[in-house]
Parts: sequence; C-alpha cells; structure tokens
Amino acid sequence: MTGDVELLNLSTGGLLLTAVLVLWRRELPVVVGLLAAQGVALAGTAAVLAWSERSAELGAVAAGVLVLRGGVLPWLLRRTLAGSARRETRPVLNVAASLLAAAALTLLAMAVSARWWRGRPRRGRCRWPSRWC
Amino acid sequence: MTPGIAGGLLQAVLVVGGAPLLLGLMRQVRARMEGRAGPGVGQPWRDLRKLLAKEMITPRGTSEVFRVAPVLTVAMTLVVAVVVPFVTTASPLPGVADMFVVVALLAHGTVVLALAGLDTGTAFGGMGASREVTILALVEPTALVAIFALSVPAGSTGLPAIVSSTLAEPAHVLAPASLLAAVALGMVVLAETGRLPVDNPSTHLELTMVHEAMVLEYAGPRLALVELGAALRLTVYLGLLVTLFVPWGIATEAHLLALAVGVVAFAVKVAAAGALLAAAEVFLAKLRLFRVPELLAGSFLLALLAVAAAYLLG
Repeated sequence: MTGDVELLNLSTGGLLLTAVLVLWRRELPVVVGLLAAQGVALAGTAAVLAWSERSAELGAVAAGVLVLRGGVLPWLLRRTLAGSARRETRPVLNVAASLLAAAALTLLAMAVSARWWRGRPRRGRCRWPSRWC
Repeated sequence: MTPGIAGGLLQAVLVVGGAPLLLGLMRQVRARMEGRAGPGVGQPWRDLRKLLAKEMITPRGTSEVFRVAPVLTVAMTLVVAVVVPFVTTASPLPGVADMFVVVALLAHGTVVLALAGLDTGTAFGGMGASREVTILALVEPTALVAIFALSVPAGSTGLPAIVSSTLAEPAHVLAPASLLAAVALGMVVLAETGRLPVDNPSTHLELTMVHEAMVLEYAGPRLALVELGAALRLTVYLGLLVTLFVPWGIATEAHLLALAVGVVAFAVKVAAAGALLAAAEVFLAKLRLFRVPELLAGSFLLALLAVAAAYLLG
C-alpha cells in the first residue's frame, strides 16, 4: 500500500515538475520533449490507480494517455515544428515573473485543496481512496 | 583529544590538501575532453607555490579591507571545512554545524571579497563586486529554502542530524522533496562557485567575467590565498552536496578504520562530482548575465516545491 502511495507521489510530482519546467525553458523542441514527459507522468498516475484498484478500465485509460500524450501529440508537434522558422517561445510575461507566479499559484492550490480535504465529511482521516487506509 | 576535534582537524587537512588537487583534476578532465594534453593534476599546487614566493604588492589607495579579505575568506571557508560532517559525524563545534550557519559563513566569504573589490576603486573591481553580489542575493533564498526542505524529515537543521537521519533511512534520498532540493542546491553550488553557465572561471574577458573581475588587483601571496579560497569553496560546496545526498561512508563512530573509510569515501565522492561537473561544462556555454536570474528563479521555485512536497507528502 505505502509503495503505491510513493509511486503516486512520484508521478504527480513529475507532473508538477514538468509543468514548471515548461515555463522555465524557451526552446520549443525542449518544451515539446517536456510535454511528452508530462504525458508519461500523467499516464503513470492513472496506471498506479489502475494497479491499486485492479481496474481494467483505468488501465486502458492509462495506456490511451500514454500513447496520445506521450507519443502521438509530441510527434505531431515536432513534425509541425520542423517546417516552421520559430525556435523559441515569446512569453508575454518574463520567465522569472512567471516562475514566481507559478510558485504562488501552486502554494495557493495546495492550501485550498488541503482545506477542502479537511472540511469534507468522510470515514477516518484518509487522503487517498479508501482501499489504501 | 576528543573524537570531534580529531575529526575536525583531519577534515581541515584533507580539504586544504585536496582542494587544489580537485581544481587540477577538473581542469585535466576538461582538457582531455577538449583534446588537449592538460597541465596535470598538480598544476594548481605548483601555481600556488610560485605565487607564494613572489613579493607582496599592495595597490596604491587601498585600505585594510583589501589586505585582510583573502585571509578572512580562507578562514571562514576553513571553519566550514572543520565543522561540516564530511568524514565523521562527530563535530568539534556542534552548534556551528548548522546549515544556516554554514550558508551564512560561506556567503560572508563572498561578501568580504566583494568589499575588497570595491576597495580597490577600479572599474573592474566595482563591476565584478556588483555582479557577484547580484548573484549572491538571488542564490541565498534558494539555498535557505532548499535547506529547510532537507531539515523537515530530520526535524533539525543540524548537519550531523540530517546526515544520521539519511544514513538510518536511505529511502529519504529518493523522496520527491529530496530530489527537488538536490537540483536546487546543485544550481546554488554552480552559481556560488562561479562555474558555467553562471560564470566562466577561465575567462578574463571584461564583458563576461564575474569572480575574476572582482579579484583582478590581487597579486603574489594574496592572490595565492584568493585562489586557494576559491578552490576551498568549490571543494566545500561539492562536499556539502555529496554529504547531504550521498552520505554513505561517513564515519558515525570514532574508529580508526571508520575514519579511514570516511576519508577515502569523501575523496572519491568529491572527485567524482568534480569530474562530472567538469565533463558537463564542456557542453555548456555561459549564460548572458541577464538570463542568470531566470535560471536562479527556476531553482528557487524547485526549492519551494521541495518544501511543499516535504510537508504534504512526507
């Protein structure tokens, strides 16, 4: 059970990290690579849930996400990129400011979701699906 | 002699003796990867010997700040080398082996050199000092927040406590909080020791140099001290990184054998980290000064996420 929780932490952490790194880097090929990595992390989240619940439907969802977000979409973007002259993103807000905004928004999201979990009526004090507690 | 004092002395000797060798190793790795023969690992020691034998020159119009700055930098770095549990967790001054104190001591070393750069009154000294302090101001918050994240699982900011807790539970190193803090602290080390992509240690081009511009007026024995101080800082920062994230081999008891294993493990780990850094630098170009804040803002965000992860997931 704890192993599942750790894997879930790792995949959601990867999701958050790739989302931050997309803001950080300007080179479009790197951004597309990060998008693919994010797809893999997202599929990992679904796969951990599927394994834990022993659910074939969730497994199919994980496989679909992996193929679409981790493979097809980045491949299409790379093909489009190969024909265009633009190599870098042109951010509206500068990188340092957008990173700090991302930090503030992430902390806000965490504070809000922690409050939501606390205020929710449920059995016991569990943050995860009931099977894991 | 208590084990703490003996361990501290051993660490000081090891760091001072090994720091120029580490610098030599990194230059040699870089030279070999670029297809040059390289001057050999012992070259920084030979340079130091040559500089120490020269006469003392003091630029006209400089004050005591210029004269004492190299000594103070080396002294503060030496205190860190004595108290941080590089080889053994027995510290001679347990109160000073706190992460906040260590970061403050290392930052003071930079500040003292920046003051000396301003003291010379030259354009280069002022420019180098201004750039160095800009980078320092951006790096310090990252270092403090990353340390905070590391201290959460151990419940203490004391380095021996953090190292003992990691040795007791090796799984902590692979926790998301620890990995994020490792990346953030790695960037802090790059910026603070003046390596690529923040500063190029081998350039003397006025547009790009940061640390070198600050110490341009030094010559002779004082330059030897400045160079030794830079090598010590590099060793201490790399040592701090490997001590926090790869603590295996550090002696937790006062055996002679355990100490010997600790010395060998420290030397191997720091040499490997230095060689890796030198090899990575071959593929990097220096960032423009105006892009450096972006890099450091990114590392600050990673450190902040590490703290959040340490509290939410830990």
